[in-house]
Amino acid sequence: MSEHHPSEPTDNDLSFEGGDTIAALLAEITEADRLRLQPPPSIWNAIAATIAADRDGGSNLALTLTDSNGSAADDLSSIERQATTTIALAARRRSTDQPTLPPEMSTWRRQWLPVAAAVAVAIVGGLVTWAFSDEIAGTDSDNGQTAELDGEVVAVTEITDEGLSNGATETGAIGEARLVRSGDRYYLDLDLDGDVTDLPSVEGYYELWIVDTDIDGTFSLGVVAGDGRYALPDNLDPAAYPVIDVSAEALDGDPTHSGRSVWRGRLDL
Amino acid sequence: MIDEVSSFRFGDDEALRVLYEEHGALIYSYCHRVVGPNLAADVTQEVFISAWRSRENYDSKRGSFAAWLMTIAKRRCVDALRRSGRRPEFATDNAEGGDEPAIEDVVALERIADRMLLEEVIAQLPGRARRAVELAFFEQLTHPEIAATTGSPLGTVKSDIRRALAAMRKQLGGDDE
Repeated sequence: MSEHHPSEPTDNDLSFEGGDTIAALLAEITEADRLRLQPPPSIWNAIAATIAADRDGGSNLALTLTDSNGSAADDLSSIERQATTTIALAARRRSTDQPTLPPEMSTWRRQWLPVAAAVAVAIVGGLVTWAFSDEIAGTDSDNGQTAELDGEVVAVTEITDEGLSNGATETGAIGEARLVRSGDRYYLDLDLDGDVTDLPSVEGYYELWIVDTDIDGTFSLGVVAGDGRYALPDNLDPAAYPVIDVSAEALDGDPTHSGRSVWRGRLDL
Repeated sequence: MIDEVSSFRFGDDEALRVLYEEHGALIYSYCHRVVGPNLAADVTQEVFISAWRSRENYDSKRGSFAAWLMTIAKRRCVDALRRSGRRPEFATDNAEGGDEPAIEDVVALERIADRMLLEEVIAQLPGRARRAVELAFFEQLTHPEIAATTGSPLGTVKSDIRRALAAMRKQLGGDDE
């Protein structure tokens, strides 16, 4: 650092609130303030283990930080490699162009696939085979109706708890959300793998949202009551709200997002 | 692309890992300086776990994520010192030991935190802006002098410093847990 001459005048504009404080702090900065020590890997291992415990019995995150013997890995590069693998797996699971289930799919989904397929076949009479075509006909099963809901599928995303801790559901993927354009309007078709009553119980209810990339803007599409079509607000650009979010909401009368995202997906728009 | 802080607020523990990689050295270095090498790891761990459990309280409009972490770190450091009946590591008149952090210690660890946060901003500035800030605040040059020294237009110097000050101001915003 160069020598200081605090008594000499400058023309830096420090007239804003806190400006004098910043100037004084800058004048005090020493080499010790610039020193950065790399934390030992054991710190992150302990953090990950605690968070895993918070998640009611373990998580993928914890697994990435332990070696094959179950003891904490102490090799940061190893941790980073495994974490990168986890990210890659998550990205693949969220891919919209892989209708077949990847080998890393969750146990929950493996268990529910036959049931979901049977239900889907029973309800839509074979329309499940159209699920990934550009033109589909959805169903409004909330009301027990089978009226066809036409539209062009713009994007599809898996709805999963991958990487989320709030719900501690460990359900993996619970279904898919499809952005559909019909006429001048956009809709989100929610297609759960099972029935809504199969979802983990919650004190309150689940709510479906679209969220912008900064998480500053959220629009509620409504309470999750099962498979169904949810209309997006008029004149809203869906590309600006690509995140599909299912939150756990309390019966507290607060209409804003609780911050407890349980499942999430992202539309590739 | 969702930024990591937003994902963190929504409970994405992978985002926590990324944020730890980004800010872990800052927090660990600060804790090391305040509570010493024996407690630094434990306190750093407490800071990130506290941040995770209170993540819904972070408001980006009130300050940077680093400042929020540092606010938690200051409290955890003071707690750790009180638990161990010690004064901060940097306190030079601590020969007797067996004491709690004094008021002046708390003030000092606050200023250390603020200086380290400002240093983070300066270190992340692009080269030209960083040079302008260093000349303005460390060497006390006027803007025309900086322009003459660096060869940059006066307007560029002013805008670089103005943006840097805005970033510093935001950095120090802080927030509650």
